[in-house]
Amino acid sequence: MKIPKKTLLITLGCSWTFGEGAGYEPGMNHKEYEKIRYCPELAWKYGWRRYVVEHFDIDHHNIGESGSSNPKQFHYAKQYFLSKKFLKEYKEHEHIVVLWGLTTLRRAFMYFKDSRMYENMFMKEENVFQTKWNTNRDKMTKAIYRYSYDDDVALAELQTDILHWNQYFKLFPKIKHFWYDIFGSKKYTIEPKNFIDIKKEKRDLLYLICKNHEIKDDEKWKLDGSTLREGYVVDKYNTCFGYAGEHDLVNPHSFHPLKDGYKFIGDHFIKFLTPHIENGL
Amino acid sequence: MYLITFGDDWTLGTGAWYKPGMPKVVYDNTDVDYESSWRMMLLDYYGYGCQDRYKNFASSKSSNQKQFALAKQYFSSKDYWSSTFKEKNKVVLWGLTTTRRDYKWCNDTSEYEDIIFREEYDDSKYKDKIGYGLNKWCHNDRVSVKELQVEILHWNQYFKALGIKNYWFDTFSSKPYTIKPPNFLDIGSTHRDLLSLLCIKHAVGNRDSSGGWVNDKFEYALNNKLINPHDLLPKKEGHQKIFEYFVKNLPFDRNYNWSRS
Repeated sequence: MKIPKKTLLITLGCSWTFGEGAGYEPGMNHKEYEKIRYCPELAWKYGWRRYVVEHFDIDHHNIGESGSSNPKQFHYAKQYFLSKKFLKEYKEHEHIVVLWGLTTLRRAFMYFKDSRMYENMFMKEENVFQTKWNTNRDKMTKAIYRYSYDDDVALAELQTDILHWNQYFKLFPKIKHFWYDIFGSKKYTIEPKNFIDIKKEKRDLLYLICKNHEIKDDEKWKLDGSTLREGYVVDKYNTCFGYAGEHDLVNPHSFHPLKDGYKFIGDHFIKFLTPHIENGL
Repeated sequence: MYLITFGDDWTLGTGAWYKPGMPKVVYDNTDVDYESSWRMMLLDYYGYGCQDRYKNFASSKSSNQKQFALAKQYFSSKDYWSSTFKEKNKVVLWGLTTTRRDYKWCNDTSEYEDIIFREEYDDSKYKDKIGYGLNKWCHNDRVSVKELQVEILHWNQYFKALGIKNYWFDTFSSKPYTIKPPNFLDIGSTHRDLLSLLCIKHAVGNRDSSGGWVNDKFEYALNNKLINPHDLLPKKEGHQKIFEYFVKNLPFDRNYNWSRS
């Protein structure tokens, strides 16, 4: 089954959507890894997006990027869906699929005067909070984390954004749009029909990779969350990074999927999208 | 018709109850009464008020961020889709305030707080510390206006699809927008905000051709008693002028005739 020609896939999300670290080879040391970590060609070649795009033979536009936060993706989306580029693509395509990955709540982004740039902010525990440079970004991130951040509030805000964008996409009859959790399945109190596996307690891509490994190796399941990894990946909505690290399902440097993990994600989305396509986008 | 308003004190109508010479202590302790505000006059004029066919989100010291957050919640809510959605001829009037404010959750009060950007801060209040940090390290006028423009265009797109007529206006500062949405009142004018409107009307009425009001609108308005001295907000007479401005500039009349659009 192929999607009819002139279909466009738009992807949003963080590094997992971009394909960070997809060029990692087992045994690579940190220095070797850093050289290929953000390579866009390798991210495309071994990341999950290519599998989906080539399987259905469709056009593609990616907005997801390394280190991105949910607020940053919402900001990018506002700009993109107002742009002439999008309006041109909307006219030229018969169908548009939006796959929007939601990352950890503990990230933000802000404009900083000193760098004159928007910078990504990673909310970490205070003892590992600052870089050695103690930049203005570090100071502001610390202030936001200490004075303003709350997991439940951040989740409630994310839910409002999900509902807002669900309404927004109704404006475009050609668009079919789906949400998914990237790593860490959040405890949503809403159940949008277009959120992949929303009714399942664990639904994120990292969990699916771990679950797939468990089934394959018939191992004792121990995906009860882990504190093995300090910092931003360990939030109150437990992630599976501990399990994934123990079983070499992610690379040891940045904890991104390996090549076969990205392939698994690609297959997951192909499987998910196929019935939607058969029913007609 | 159904009117939905967004904005800060200028839209809410704070201070419309001020009377000339009223001491601050009396002003601060006077019961809130928005009846003399342009918002309520507009509701009466268009016949919204008597039928409760309106919704107001404007609030005191509100930031643009707060209003966007409230709008996102409201237009996704059951309240909107089960009742307001069915109303015909919905109109949104949205006043944009200074970009030197924000709206954030604060862990000391466990509430969302209006953040004012500050040069100094009260060490006991998280909202002040955040305001200090945002002012010192993050705020840039050009960037914040650019972000505001993206929001304006985003909401224009959203309202258009919802079939809602929406209009923007600047409250007390005319920002240097690089876009010219046709539904932004007086977008082609350099001085399009409501405070400028009051100053210009006063200057013209008094044959003051010096243009002194341009240098410092608040000082001019204060010296000429156009705003109250306690909150620097319009007085009853100012609200009347603002009301007349909206009646003149909104592209529909009180019989809901859109021929002026």
